[in-house]
Amino acid sequence: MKKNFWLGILIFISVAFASYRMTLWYIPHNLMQYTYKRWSPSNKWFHAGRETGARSWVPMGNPDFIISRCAYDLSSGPLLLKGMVPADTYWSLTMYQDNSTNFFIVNDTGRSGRPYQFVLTEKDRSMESLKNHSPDQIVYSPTRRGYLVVRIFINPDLDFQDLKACQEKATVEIIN
Amino acid sequence: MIKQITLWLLVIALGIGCGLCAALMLTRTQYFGNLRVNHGPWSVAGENTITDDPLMVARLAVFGPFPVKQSEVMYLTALQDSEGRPLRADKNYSVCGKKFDARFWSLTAYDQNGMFFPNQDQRFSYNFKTVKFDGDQFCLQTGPLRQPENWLPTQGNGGMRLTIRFYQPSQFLRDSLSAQVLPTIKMIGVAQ
Repeated sequence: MKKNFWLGILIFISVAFASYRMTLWYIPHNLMQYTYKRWSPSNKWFHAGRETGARSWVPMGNPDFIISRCAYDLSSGPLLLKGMVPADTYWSLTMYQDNSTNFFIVNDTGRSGRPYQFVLTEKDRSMESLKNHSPDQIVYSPTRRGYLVVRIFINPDLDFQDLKACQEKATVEIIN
Repeated sequence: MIKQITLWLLVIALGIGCGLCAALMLTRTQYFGNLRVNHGPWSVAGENTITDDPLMVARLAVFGPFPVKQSEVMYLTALQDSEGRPLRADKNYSVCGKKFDARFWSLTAYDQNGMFFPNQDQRFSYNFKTVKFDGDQFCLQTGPLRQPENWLPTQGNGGMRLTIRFYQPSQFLRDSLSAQVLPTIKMIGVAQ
C-alpha cells in the first residue's frame, strides 16, 4: 500500500511535469500557427502603413514605426531578401523562428541609405544555388518556417512618402 | 481491480490537469517574468526575454510576440501610477520625466489587452521628436480629457498600461537603469 502511494506520487509528478511542458510548447506554436495563416501567402512582404487605431497586427504594436512583415517558408529553397535601408532614421530587419523567438537582427548602423541583400536558408542546405549571389550575409534559420519583420522609425523630419517608397522596395525571392 | 485502475487513471488525470493549469496560469498571470528592474511604477524585462526558456517563449507569444534583444530595444512597462494604484483608462495622469540616453525613445498607451485607444487625432504615442520639451524635461498627460499639448488620449473604463521603448539605449543607460530617474506617473483627476 505504502509502495503504491509513493508510486502514485511519482506518476502524478511525472505526468504533471510532462503536461506542463507540453502545454508551454503548444501555446506559442498554436498562436504562431494562427499568425502564420494570417500572414499568408508566405514569402511575400506585407507593407503596413501608419497605425490608425484599428486593431493592431500584434498586441503592443508600435505606432512610431512602419512595419513590413513576411511569413517565410524555406521548403522551396533559400530566400534572397533585398531592399533599401532608409537614410537618417532607424531601420531594422529581424528574423524569428516558428515560435516567435528572435534569431537574427540587423539595423541601419553602417548601412544607412544603402541597399541590402541577405540570404536566408536552412542549415545543411546545399550552397550550390547561392553561387550566383553575393549577399551581405547568409543567415541560417533554425526552423523551416518563420517570420521576418522590418521596422522603420517614422522620423517626422523626413518625408513620409519617401519612407514608404523605401519600405516598399523590400523583396523576397526564392533561389532555385 | 477496477477500483485500482480507476485510482491510477485519476492520478494521471490529476497530473495532466495540474500541469495544464500551472502552465496556463504562469503564462497568463505575469506579463514578463524574470524582471531585471522594478523602478517606481516601471518594470523592465530582463535580458533573457530572448530565450529558449519555454515559459518565457509562451509568455512572449501571448503578450509581446516578435521581441528584440535588449541592446536593440528596452521595454519599460507601467501598470500602476507612482502611488501604486492600477492605471485606468478613465482617469487622467501626468507622466513627467527627462530626456533619455538612447538613440530613439517613445512612450505609448495601451488598453488592458495591449491594443491602442482609438481616437480622432490618431495619437497613440509620443516620441523624442514629437513630444514638446521644456528644457530637457517633458510632461505628457494621458486620459479622456483633451489637453492643449502633449496629450495621449485614452477611453473606456478598463485598465491601461504605459510602455517606454528605448531604441539602441546607451550602455550606460542599460547598466545603470536602476539608478536613473524614470518618469513619474501621477493621477490628476477623474473624468467627468
